[in-house]
Formats: sequence, structure tokens, C-alpha cells
Amino acid sequence: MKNYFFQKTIGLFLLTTVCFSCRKFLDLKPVSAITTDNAYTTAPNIEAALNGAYSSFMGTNYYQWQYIELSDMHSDNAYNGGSNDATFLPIDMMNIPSDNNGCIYLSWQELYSSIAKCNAVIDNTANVTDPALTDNRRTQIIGEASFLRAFHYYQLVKQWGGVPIEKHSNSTDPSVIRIARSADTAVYNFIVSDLEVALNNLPDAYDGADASTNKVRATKGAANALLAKVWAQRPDRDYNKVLQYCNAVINSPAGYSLMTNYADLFDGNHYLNSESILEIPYIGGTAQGCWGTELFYPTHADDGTISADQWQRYCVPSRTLVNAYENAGDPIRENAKISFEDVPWADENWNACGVPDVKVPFDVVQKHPNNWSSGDHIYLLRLADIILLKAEAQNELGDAGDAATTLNLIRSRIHLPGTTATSQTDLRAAILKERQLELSFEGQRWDDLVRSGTAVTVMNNLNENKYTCNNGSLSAPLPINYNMNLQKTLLPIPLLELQANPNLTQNPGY
Amino acid sequence: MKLNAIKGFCQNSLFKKIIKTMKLLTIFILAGIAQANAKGYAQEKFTFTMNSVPVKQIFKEIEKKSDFTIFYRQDQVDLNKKVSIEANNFSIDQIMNKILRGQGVTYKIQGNIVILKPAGSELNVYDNLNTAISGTVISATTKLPIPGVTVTEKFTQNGTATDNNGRFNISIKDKNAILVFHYVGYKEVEMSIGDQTEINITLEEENKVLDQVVVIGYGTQKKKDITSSISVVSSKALEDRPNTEFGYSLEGKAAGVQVIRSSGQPQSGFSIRIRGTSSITSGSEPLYIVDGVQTQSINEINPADIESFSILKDASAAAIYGSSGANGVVLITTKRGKNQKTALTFDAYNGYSKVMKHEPVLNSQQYETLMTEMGQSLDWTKYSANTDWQNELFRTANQQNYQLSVSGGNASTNFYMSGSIVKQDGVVISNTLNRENFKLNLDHKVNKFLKVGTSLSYNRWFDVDVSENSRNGSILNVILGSPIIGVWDSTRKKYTSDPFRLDLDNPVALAEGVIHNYTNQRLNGNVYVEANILPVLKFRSMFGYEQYNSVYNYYADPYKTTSGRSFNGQAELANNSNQYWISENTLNFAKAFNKHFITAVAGFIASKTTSSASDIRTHNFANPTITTVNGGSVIDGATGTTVQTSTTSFISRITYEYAEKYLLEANYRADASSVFGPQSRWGYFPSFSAGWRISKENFFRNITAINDLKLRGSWGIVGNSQIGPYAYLGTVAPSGSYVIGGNVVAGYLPVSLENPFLKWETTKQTDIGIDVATLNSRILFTADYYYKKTTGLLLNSPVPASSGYTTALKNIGDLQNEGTEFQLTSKNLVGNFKWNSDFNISFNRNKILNIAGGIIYDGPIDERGNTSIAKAGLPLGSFFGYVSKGVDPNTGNIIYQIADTTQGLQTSDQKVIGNANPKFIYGFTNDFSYKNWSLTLFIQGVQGNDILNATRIFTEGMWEPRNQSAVVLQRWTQPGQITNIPREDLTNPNGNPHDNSLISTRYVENGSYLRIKSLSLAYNLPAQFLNKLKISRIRLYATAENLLTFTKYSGFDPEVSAFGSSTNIAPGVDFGTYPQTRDVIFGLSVTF
Repeated sequence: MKNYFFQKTIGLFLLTTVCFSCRKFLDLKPVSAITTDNAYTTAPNIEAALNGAYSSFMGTNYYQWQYIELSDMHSDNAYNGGSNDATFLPIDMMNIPSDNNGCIYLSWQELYSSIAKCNAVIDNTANVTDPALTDNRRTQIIGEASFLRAFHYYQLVKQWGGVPIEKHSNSTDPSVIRIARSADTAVYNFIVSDLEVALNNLPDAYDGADASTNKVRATKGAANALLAKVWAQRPDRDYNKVLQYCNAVINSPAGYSLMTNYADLFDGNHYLNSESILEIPYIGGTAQGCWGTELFYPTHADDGTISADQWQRYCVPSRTLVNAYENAGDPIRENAKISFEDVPWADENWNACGVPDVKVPFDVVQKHPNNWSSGDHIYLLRLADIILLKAEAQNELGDAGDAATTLNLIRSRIHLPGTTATSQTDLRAAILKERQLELSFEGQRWDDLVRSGTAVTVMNNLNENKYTCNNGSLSAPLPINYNMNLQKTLLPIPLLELQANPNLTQNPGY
Repeated sequence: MKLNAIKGFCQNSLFKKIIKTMKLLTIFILAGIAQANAKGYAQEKFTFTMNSVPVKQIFKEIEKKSDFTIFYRQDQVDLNKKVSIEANNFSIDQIMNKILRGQGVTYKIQGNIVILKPAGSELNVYDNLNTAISGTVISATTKLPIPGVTVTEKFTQNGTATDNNGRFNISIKDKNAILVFHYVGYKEVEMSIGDQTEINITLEEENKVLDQVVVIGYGTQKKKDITSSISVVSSKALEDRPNTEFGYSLEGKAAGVQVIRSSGQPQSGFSIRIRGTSSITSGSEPLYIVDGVQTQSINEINPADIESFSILKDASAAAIYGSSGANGVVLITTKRGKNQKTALTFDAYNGYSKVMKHEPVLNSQQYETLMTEMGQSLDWTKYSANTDWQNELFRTANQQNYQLSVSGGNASTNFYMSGSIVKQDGVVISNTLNRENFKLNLDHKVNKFLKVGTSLSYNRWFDVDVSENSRNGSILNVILGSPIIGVWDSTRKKYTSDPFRLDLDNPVALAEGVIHNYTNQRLNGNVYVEANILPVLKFRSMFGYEQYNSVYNYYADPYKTTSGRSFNGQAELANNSNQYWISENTLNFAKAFNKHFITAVAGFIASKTTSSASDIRTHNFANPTITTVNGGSVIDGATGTTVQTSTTSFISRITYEYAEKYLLEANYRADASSVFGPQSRWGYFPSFSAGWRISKENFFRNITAINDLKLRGSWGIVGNSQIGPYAYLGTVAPSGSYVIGGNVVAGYLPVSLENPFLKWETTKQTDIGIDVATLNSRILFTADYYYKKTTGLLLNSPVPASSGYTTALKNIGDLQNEGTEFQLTSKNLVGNFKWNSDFNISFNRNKILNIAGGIIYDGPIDERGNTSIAKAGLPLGSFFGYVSKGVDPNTGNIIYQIADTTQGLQTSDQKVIGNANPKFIYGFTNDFSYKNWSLTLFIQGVQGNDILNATRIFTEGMWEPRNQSAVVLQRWTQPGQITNIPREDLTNPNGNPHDNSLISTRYVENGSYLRIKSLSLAYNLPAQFLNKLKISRIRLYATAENLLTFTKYSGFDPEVSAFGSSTNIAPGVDFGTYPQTRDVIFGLSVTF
């Protein structure tokens, strides 16, 4: 009996020991994830990685709405609104705290994680040996990812100045990833080099594809357009290059042309049009919808009104902007971009006492919020922007006459008479004004103010007021003082990032 | 074996004592052989010549030349007399007779031992007999026979048990044998047989502290034999404080064990730190083992099923758990049946809870004044309410618990089964916890060789929680909620929202406006088989399994709340399923011979965990009566993932004990885990410990005041691998879709980077301890000093976001914990009026020695950044911020300490501004009983810690248009005003809108507290009365929890830790944390 137990148990013991100590038992591979060592081996893999890189346009908070907030709300185009939200109010009021601001950090982090996806594509594409990946496609993929990376770096450099240039995103070693800030010109040079790769590698239009592909992916046209914007925006600008790249877009075989009817651009039924160079193709009512729209414009009740339980939206059009449209006699663009409506709340700028018949404006570039899942697209690059840049370049290069002609292309579309400005200075102002009216709520205004060197004077000379209401009677106007200075043209480096990377320095004034 | 004969000899000096001891040790190792060859020794021959030398020198010669050892007492025998001898092939007898002649000394040879005594005294003689012994065992208290008392011959396998009349019969071989009488709840008795054949024993009921059997890793040990640092908490602690979770019973009961309740929600659970926090971002919870099986979650365990806890604190105790032992181990033993009459017990209690404090807030008029001052406008005439949200949100909550258990068995089969129902509501409306438990423990002896058994439990858990620890959580909003609105709007169909933040619902809506609940089900159990292969060798094979499912449901209808309205209805369904199995095979060896006792354990363990999670979120509901996700027309997200981990381990332990005096133990475990890459998959964890029971030494025999004194020391290495599956692999998730050509195309999303060098976190710990029992074990004292150093910390540290990632897991940094702990248990009064007390106090100092990369910040507060810093030289839990020097009477702004006034306030002006670690923690339990009454008073406290009251940033900051705490009535309003509350900050022309409420010393408060944690009064109905009803016991009790708190802390409650469960870097932060409550519980326990 004893021996029987002894043998049996020892046998069992050895059996289990042998069974479980084999390496296979411990070598578990992920079930629901891919590992970095096998993620980028085939042609479909690399296409998926590239799709992931494109998805940053669709999925990030930054491109859903902060892109607009950090430009139009930050500048003179809009007030914060948003129920006095403490995160965005300081951005509107030019007093962004240096310690922490969730929106600023999130934007920084999302842009760099978008860059990481591009880096993964660029670094891994060269190593794919799958014959299904043709040389032509391989070149294109690198071009597309380079374009996307340049697009994100452009967002960073124009908002924060010189930023760390992360070219690989493949390490967590502090000595590798604690990258100091490069000079802003160095970042622009890096962007330009990426865009030149894109320009060389990308087609004007993809083989056999229609606008639903060509307008949502990087193309030669998009690369030229971004190069034009980059050469205009960088501190060591070169208007010859701006002009060169604008002309490349305007004369592109892709056949970009202005839409006849301005309102069509934003009515929700004419996306992927001839004027569009690059847009974000949201699909409403799906996970590919844009929720950011709801933050600008509420989903209306079935009877078309804003129901009594709604709350104040962000990016409320300013009196300055509304007056600008009215002074310009420009109802077409005003109506396409701004909608005045009855709201169930008090608005400290437009209707402090919440009087029922005083209407409050909304940014309605996207008109169908659809309960946080809008199908309205966002234009990232649009021909009108490039035409106005061309006018700017012509004017800066001393060619006022041609500049006026180019500018009038934009004015004539909305049935406005040609510009009366003739001098370089007057034209400069006229073009800037035209850009404000043409491109409002498209994420351009802040860059225009900074580029033209007018950010400080414009913001400090605004005649904006807010009001309070005491038992139904409106207070006297309380002037809003933006206290703008040159240092505030850049955002603060987020404190969390400064803490994680001791090699960073803060921007002056924060 | 010859213990009796030798006792009392050679009591001259400690030194000599030690020498003799070592000899004895040798002797006893050979004792078995010696007995067999007793005659042989006696026939050994000696040849030598010595002239005129002291007798003792001749003895030395004999000892040198032979295996004989000669024992004597110097006070009885004079061995300095000089003699001469010429031995020529003499036997030992011949030599002895010759040299001892005429010296008044006689001798006896037993085996190879020669004993000298004064002539005429009696010597024990070894006799080889087969004697039948019988007798009766009775109880000293009842004077009645006790059945089932085990009677064993010491150091042998020979044993029996008393019958129903308390009678036993046993055959022994040896008159010198010692019989051991053992019965649970009674003092163990050892009895020398001598010439007796009939032995009557009276067993005294006693708290056998020293002989208490303690559950240790893969076995048990008697308390007196333990050489490592182990705290034991018995079920008494659970009985005194009826509660839904066992962690509360550990609170303040064991030195070095800190129970942190991070929230007052009944379902929030607790976290336990044993001897400080030994990791920065890896898990720091101890390992929980229930009946030998590691458990994945402890919240669902029914405390009433627990028999005892053993808390393994030092590396030596925990090393057998190797890579899981670094944070200490809590062994939970559940109740099992005994060989006794079936007992049926019914327990029930009912209790009420309330918040302990009401925070004064601004009323609607004061609110209007402040809002106007802050430049806010509203048509105030539209609002007439004056709501204090604390009255709306907090309630008197009810809790109920019912439990039925049956236990019993016979000689071969024992069982314990129980079922219980708990319903505990939180003090915040809608907050509730319901739990049902079922438990079955079964043991069966198949035959002499084989024993099988099982432990099974099933529980179902349902809870509705409340959002806390965030800016928009319910708790913070009871203060921030606007007083001018009521709960419902005039239509009563929807909740009101804040007039200045229309997207934020009122606090009641936040708590109950949406359906959100968790339903968890857990089945866990194990089966074991034990085979006695040889009398000294036992094989045990155990297979444990756990299946855990959890379902989360969320639904916001399209009308009531702003979130529901704006999404036109929103729902989420999350499922988690977790399977875990463990196979454990061990060989146990135990052998006692003479005074030696050796045990050894060797085993092999394998386990595997598979976890699956799925989640679906939808919105846009066509019909609000459908509350499940299928009702939403837009799918916002749907995921389903599975992860697995596996481990294999080899364990071993050997213990050696000599004469209950010298104790040695060594453990060794090798662990492999799939969470690490092949290069560093194995971790090796050795430990050693030793104990010396000084009180068992002869020289200590006269010190009667101290009945037990033990010194112990241990050293060992334990590990920590509480990191996620596949942590060493870089992963890419298949998510990140885009639309091309109108079609949704799938994309990749990089998640983490590869780190094949990821390895075990290692903790080395040294412990020195002393255990003292005095006054017949009425006073027990234990003290320990420990030093533990953790290296290769598994740190999920923030990395610059510019890398594309925000955190990365690496082995970086070293950390140390050093401390002392003391436990004093005493029976202050015995007799009719009894008073027992138990006091423990622990001092721990934590220090970060090194963090690769320098600094980590954590503890994020919305809009303010991190509260805490981790950096070499600082303890974990250091607060970081500005130094506030009060309010400037001229401007009404906070004056901060600024290094460079030309630059103004810079981030470089931030300093370490507080320490969340207590200087010491303590617990003091007093049990009083008089006849059928008993009273338990439990006091608990922490001293010398800071709390960062981040709640006040929001409730006193006046930087957003929310209601505020009433202290802002003292705010600065005009130049020259001296106050400690600055001006409103929203329209502050100076600087940023919230410069006055930066994280600073303004919010650092003294977190020390002393709390009457529990006071319990119980009454046992008299036996005479119960006998008539055929009921064994009826106990009635009333318990008050958190009765009184002495603290300077200004928040709701000093027992807070907003980030306690998410990070070790930022403990002690109060950020809208659900407060602890004051409870009163009435209970009844009936045993049939």
C-alpha cells in the first residue's frame, strides 16, 4: 500500500513538473494585440499602420475641435462661451496659467502621439520584404506618412515655437527621449524636408480613385499647399517660395477650383468638392462621426429650436467678427458661418439677461451635430486659403496689382466689388481682413494675426464688452481687457511635459 | 530521551552551558544508535595511565578517547580530588569504581552517558517495557469528561483519542515516555509516565498563546516555533466588529499593517500596506491566500466565514511565495468542521450609518453676493430655492446582514457550510452594495493514508457606486452645487443643472440620474488530496479554480440628465470574465527524534489566468424604455480583448528545531512568469531565519517572571511582478480607423514599446525580533525591527509626451522601508471581571533611494497639476507645491514665497510642502467582560502625517462660478482687511484667474487623528435559560463604529486617499473623497 502511494504520487509530481516547466507554457503571445516585432511585416500591415496615422485627423480631440478653439476662440473671432469653463476661458482671455491646462497638454500629447504613428510607418516601411508591397506603393506610403508628420509638426511649431523633434518614437530611454527644444526655424526646416519627400513621392491623384479618396489623403496638391503655408508662417519667411507653391496648387493637374456658391462649402451636402484639397471625412451617426461639432452647435429639438435644457456652447462668434461681416456687406459668408438663434440661457456678451427675443450667434461651419456624431467634414486645406496666400505673397513681393487681382477672385465669388486698396500697406490689411471673413472658424485666424505681426495690436484694440444682469436689468458694458503681449503669441509648454522632460525650457512669460 | 536524568546538571556558567549544549546536540543526534548499543558502550575497554590528577581530568581523558559523556553537578560532586589510575583494558565500570571509590559519589551508565550523583540519591534507570496506560481526561471547569482529546506519545507517531467518557488506552514502550494531551481550547498537558499505569488528567481551559497553531505558507507552525515575523488576527476581531469586508477587522489589530480606507463607500474596499509601500507604481497590495489558494479579489469574501488571518510580514515568512511576496502575504483560513455535534448558527445584524460632519456652505443669498462679486449675471428672480445639497445627497443609510452556518462532523468527515445575505446602503443616495455568499468546506479521511477535501465558495455582488475624487464628482458637488436650484425642474421630468454651468447636473442627478451598476459573480474552490506516503512523508496535491465575471451597466435616459439629453440617451455594457487555475503539488516531511524536529517542504506549482473583457457603448435611443445598449442607434465603441498570464514555481523549505530552543529555517523558491521576456523570466528567492528561545535554557529556569523569551532574526529576498500581461512586449492595438473612398478602413494604434529586459522587482528584508511572555503568559510582548530595500522597481513612469507615449514601464529605482513595531497583549484582570487589552504601534520610514531619470510627479488635480513628487531622498508621498505666506492685506491675493521677485512666481518656486506618511500608527483594543456581559473598545490612530486638502482648492478657491464653503464669508473684500481667505479669483486683475488657489501650503493640513473606531457591547444569555430552549448560545450586541474622532483636519474626514488605489506616489490627498461614516449596528447570534 505504501509503495503504491509513493510511486503514484511521485510519478504524478514529476509528470506535472515536466509538463508545466516547459517553456511553451510560459511563452504566451498576446491574443488581442499585435506585438511590435510582428506588426509591420506585410503590405497590409503597413497599410493598416498608415490608416492608423490618418485616423489621428478623425479621432483626436485636437482635430475635432481644439484646432478651432486654439485659433478662432483664442483670437478675436470668438468668445469662449462654454458655460464659463475654467479650462478654455484662460485661452480666450490670454492668461493661460503656466502650471497646468488640460486642453494645452492634451493637444501637445495628441499631436506627438500622432507623430509617433507616422514615425512607425516611415521607420518600418523600408524593412518590409513582402513582395506585395510594390516600390511605387512603398514610395507613396513614405510620402503620405511624411506629409502627415509635417502637418502635425506644423501645428506644434506655430503654437509653441521650437519644439523637440522626435524622429523615431521607438524608445523609452530617458537619454534618448528627453529631447531638448529645437529652434523654430529648425522645426520648420524639418517640416519642409518632410514635405519635399511628400512632394516627390505623392501623386496628384491616386490611381483610379475619386474625390472620396483624393480629398482625404495626402497628395501632391496637399503637400504644395502646406509648403505654401509653412513658408509664409515661418519667421524667416520666403514669399517667393510661397508664391511658387501656391501656383503649384492653383495650376495643379488635380484641377482645384473655387466653388461657385460659397454656402455650398458648408451646407453638409457638397463635401469632397473641387475647392477642397484635404478634409476629414467624418461619417455621421457612427463611431467615425465628429463629436466636436456638438461643442460648437447644439443638436436641435425636433421642432428645430434649441431646447430649454441645452447649455452654452464654445466658440461664440464675437461682435468684432459679426461687425466685420456687416461692415463688409458680406451676408453670404456670414450666413454660411454664423447662425443667430434663440437660446434658453443667458450669454454674458450677447444677451446677459437672457431676454427671449435677443438672439445669440453660433459657429455653424458644421451644421449637423447629430447628438455628438456629426457627419460634417472639416476642411484642413482649401483652395481659397491658398489663393489668398498667393495674394499675400504677391503683395509682399511688391506686386500690388496682381495681388489685388488675386484677392478679387475670392471677393467676386461672394458678389463683393473689387478691393479699393492699392498700396502695399492697404492691401496687406485688406488681405488679412479677407482671410478673416473667408476662413473664419477654420482654424486660421490666430496664425494670420501672428504672421502679420498684428496679434498684439488687434487684441488690445478690440472694443469688446461683457455685461452682467441684476434682477432683469442689464449692467453698463464692462470692457474686456485681453492684456495681449508678444510673448503670449506662443502657448506655454505644459507643466506635465516640463516635469517629464527636464531638458525642456518654458516659453518666456509663463 | 535521557532528559530527566540530565536535567539540573552543570548549571555553572553560560559558557560551559553552551559547550555542554553542543555536546548534547551531538549526543542526541546519535541517541537512537546509542540506545541500541547501550551494552556495547559498557563493554568498551580503556588503557591509560594517569598519576595524581584531579578526577575531572580523567573524565576529560575518557571523553576524549571514547563516545562517553560524563554529566554531574558541581555543587554535588567534588571532582578536584587527585587520584591515580593505571587502566589496562578496563571497562568503564572498572574505571568508575576505581576513581570514585570513597568519594561519596555514585554513578550510572546509560548508553554512552555517565551520570554522577552523590551516593544514596536515586537515579533513573532506563527500562525497556511494553506498558498499557489508561486513564480519564476531565475538564477543570466543568469537571466533566472530555471526549476527543488526542493522546500522543511525544516524539512518536503513537497516539489515540479519548472516547465519549473521556477514557483512553495507549501502549507505550518506555517508562520515560511523555504523553501529550491535546484538545482545542484547552491547555496542552505533557505527562511523564514513570511507573503509573492509570493517569487521570484535568485539562484547563486556557488561552494557549504559545502553543497556538499559526498558519504559515504551505503549512502550519506553533507560535513558539516561529522565527519570522508573523501577525495573527483571530476571528474574535471579526466578531467584535461586524462588517461587510474583512479588511476592517485587520485595521489597527496588527503591528506594521496599515489598512487604508480610501473612501467611505461600502463597496470601495480597502488597501493594505504591510511595513510601508515597497513599490512606486507596481502593485503594493499584499498577496491574499484563501485556504491555500491565491485569490484575485478580496472584497467579496464573507468575513463571517473566516477563522483566522496570518499576516506574513518579513522576507523569511513570505519568501515561500517568492515573486508574489514582496508586499507581505495575508493568509486567510476559513472555518472548517470539527469532530463534534452539529452546530447551527444564525447571525443577523441591522445598522445605520451617517456622515460625521456637515460642512457649512453659502446659502442662496450669500451665493448671489459672491457670484455678483465674481462678475456673474443671472436673472436671480427666476430662482427661489435655497438648497443645501448635503441634506439632499446624504442620508441615514441602513445595513443588514443575515448569515446561517452549519458545521460539524465525525471522526472521518467534517463539514462547514454557510450562506449569507448582506445589504449595505451608503450614506449617499443611490449608493448601495448587496452581496450573497455561499460557502462549503468539506474534509474526509478515506483511510489511514488518504484524506480528501474541498473548499468551495460562490458569491454574487451587486453595487451602485457614486462618483468621487474628481471635480465633477457627487461629493465635491455637495459643496459646489448651486444653492438656488432645487433637485427637479418645474416639470419634474428632468433634473436641474447649475445656472452657471448648464452642462453640469445637480449633485443628486450626478448620483442617481443614471443607471450604473456592477454585478459580479465569483465561483472559487479547490480540491485536495493528502496521502501519508510514509509516517514522516506526506504528499499533497491541490487544484484550485476561480471563475469571476463582472458586468457593468450604464444608462442615461434621454430626458432626465444633461448627458442623457445631449446624447439622446447613452448606454454602456462592459463584461469582464476571469478564469484562474492553480495546480499545487507538495511533499511534506516531518520527523521528530529525541529533541530534534525537522520539517521539509518541496513542491511544484503552476497557474494560469485568462481574462477577457468586452465593452460596448451606444447612444441615440429611439425609445427611452429600452435601457440596454441595443437601444442606441449609434455605436460609439465596441471592444473585446483577452489576455493571459502563466506562472510556474518550485518551492522548498527546511526547518530544524532542537529541544524547542534552537530554531532554524530556510526557504527557497524559483518563479517564472510569462509577464517577463525569456531573458529574465526566472526569479530566485532564498531566505533564512533563526530563533533562540532563551527561556528554554537551563540558566533561565529560575526566572519565573518570564515564561517565554525568544530572539529571532531573518533575512530574505522576495519579489514583485504585479504588472500587466505581456508587459515586456511592445504592443500595437488594431484600432484607429479612417475613412478612405467612403469606406471605413482599419488601422493600427501603437500602445507600448518593447522592453525585453523587464525583470523582477526585488525586495531584500532583514528582520530582528523578540517575543516575550511574562506572568504566566498574561502579558505578551513582541518587538521587531526591519529594514527592507527594494531594487529594480517596476516603474510605470511618466515619459515626455513628445516620445509619442506618456508612460513606460521600466525597472528603475530603489526604495527602502525601515521601521520598528511593537505589540503588547495583556490580561489586565482575570477572574469574574476580565479585562484584556491589546496595543500595537508601528513606525515606518520610507525613502526613495534612486529613480532613474530623477523625478516623477503624480496625483493629478483638475486644472492644477500634480500634488506629489517622487525623487531620491524623499519619502513616497511627498507633497509638492508653492509656499503660501498668507493673504496680502493690500491686494487680497496670496503671497507666495518667490525666489526671484523680478521674475514673479515661477514653477521653480515649488518645493516639498508636506509628507503624507504618518510618524506612527497605532491601535488599542480593550475587551472587558463581566459574567455574561462583554464590552470592546477599539481605538485607532495615525500621527504625524499631512493631508493635502485639494477639495478646498475647489470649495474655497472662488475661481469658477460655483458655490463655496462658508469659510469664504471671511474673504478679502477691501484693502487693509486682514484675513486668511483671499479675494475672489475669477475677475482678479492680477495675473491668472486661479493664482490664489495653486497647490500650496495653504492646503496642507495636519492629518493626525485618534479615533474611537468601535465600541461594542455584547450580552450572552445565561446558560440555564438556554438549556431549557435547547440552544447553546444566544449573543446580543450593539456596536458603534467611528464613534468619536479627535483631529485638527478640516475636511469631512481624515481617513482619505483620493489616489490611494491608483498610485503609490500620491497618498493622503483629499479631493472630493467620499467620507467615512458613523455607524450603529445591532446584532444577534444564535447557536443551536
